[in-house]
Amino acid sequence: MAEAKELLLEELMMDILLRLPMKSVVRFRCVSTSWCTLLSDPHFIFKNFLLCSNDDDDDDVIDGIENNKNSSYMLLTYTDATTMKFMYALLSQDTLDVCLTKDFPHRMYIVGSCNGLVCLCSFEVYTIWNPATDETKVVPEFQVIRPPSTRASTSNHGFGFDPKTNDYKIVRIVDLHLDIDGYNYADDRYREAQVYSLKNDSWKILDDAFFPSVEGTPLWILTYSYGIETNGALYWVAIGEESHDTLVSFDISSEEFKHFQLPDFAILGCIEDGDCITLLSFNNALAMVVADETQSQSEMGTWTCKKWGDIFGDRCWGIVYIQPNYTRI
Amino acid sequence: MSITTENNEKMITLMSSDGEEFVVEEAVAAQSQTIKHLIEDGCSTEGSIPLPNVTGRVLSEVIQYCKKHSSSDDKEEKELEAWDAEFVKAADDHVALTDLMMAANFLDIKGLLDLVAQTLANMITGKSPEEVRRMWNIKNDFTPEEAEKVRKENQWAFE
Repeated sequence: MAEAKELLLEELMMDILLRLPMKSVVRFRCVSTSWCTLLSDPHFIFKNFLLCSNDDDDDDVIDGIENNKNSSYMLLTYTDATTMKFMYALLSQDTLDVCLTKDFPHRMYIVGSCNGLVCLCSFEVYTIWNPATDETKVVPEFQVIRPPSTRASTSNHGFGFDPKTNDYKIVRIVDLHLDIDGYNYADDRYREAQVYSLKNDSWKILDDAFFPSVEGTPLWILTYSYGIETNGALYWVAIGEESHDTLVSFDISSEEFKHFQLPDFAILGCIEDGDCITLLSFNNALAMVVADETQSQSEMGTWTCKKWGDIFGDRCWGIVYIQPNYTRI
Repeated sequence: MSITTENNEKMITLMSSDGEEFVVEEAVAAQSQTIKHLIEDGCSTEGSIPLPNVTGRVLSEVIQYCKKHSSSDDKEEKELEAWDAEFVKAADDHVALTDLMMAANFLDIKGLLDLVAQTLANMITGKSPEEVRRMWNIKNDFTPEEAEKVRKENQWAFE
């Protein structure tokens, strides 16, 4: 009987531990070996995250650095002046208090963040970092056998979550050059999309997912930029037809690319100058800030799209903020 | 044995592991999925329903909860929340709460199970691993080396 009670207690304990803020979860790994195994299990961490982030009670848990859906955090990168180390600091959006600092062995760029996970990149090597548990996962490099004269370089990338498979993915758009005499491109395979799945811990090339093109010419995504993640899709600004800017999107679940025109106000303000468009995720919608330098003002609109597939039918821009004398930082 | 009251409400008798009997309205007892199924299977017609895993002390608390929750409707949600908070406060120590949670699990009363689990989670959120071990008699089975390593790896959670 005593044993049955213990077993039952163990089962019920799971129900209690799933409700803890992440900091307590991590601390309680020190309780016993079985707790350590359970509380380090990614499935447990994920379930804990879901349960805690759906919790409507605002009076229950302490100010953990994640979990609470009402808290947002900012990630800053800087170089520590005394140690010269590359530092990452997590700041509370409400109070600007520093919640956490961390140094990595070398400088890494932020590719994106999603559900509290941060994807960083350095020299084409990706690292996924969970600031809540301070765990890092170095993504294996993609080994592709190519003709020796081929050079591959990443032009754009993005990081997002696939709610259908509970998987995190990195998508990377790679330019392939033939190195024979300057820049000769290999047929029509000179641009390639690769996807990494955290669940499978492996990369693959998206053979069928043709990059959006206009009359056979693939769209060029402007600048070395990371994709903005909103509602299960990643977005970039690209140059489209007649040099007009266009949006390229990638659905993280179906792994398909699409492109569509920008709203009129963005085109009017920004012909042939993608730099004046900034994409961001705002209130769960895709937003863009358009700086119209001729007018010295900017407009910000949000693109509400609940589902990626509906984006053509359901787009709706609203100007939510106009600030005269907008200065680009 | 089932009797009916003047409101035509069917009453049933529950018997705790220590032989205490509780006569409650069927609608109250049916908050427990376990009892509901026993009633559907006709167990309540032959005397009291035995609940061998629940003591009289815990069962009286469970019945209190079920009574409150069967008589309130959705409009009184705020009041019900306040009542729940008082209810778990009265049980105040983790041993009583753990017993209550086991009963809620056995009797399959989801609302009570969630309430008690959240209360216990809140209770241990700020505690140290040592305190948690003492609460539930959990054996520290790390070797000193392992203990140091795990502590070091998770140091930030102690700060």
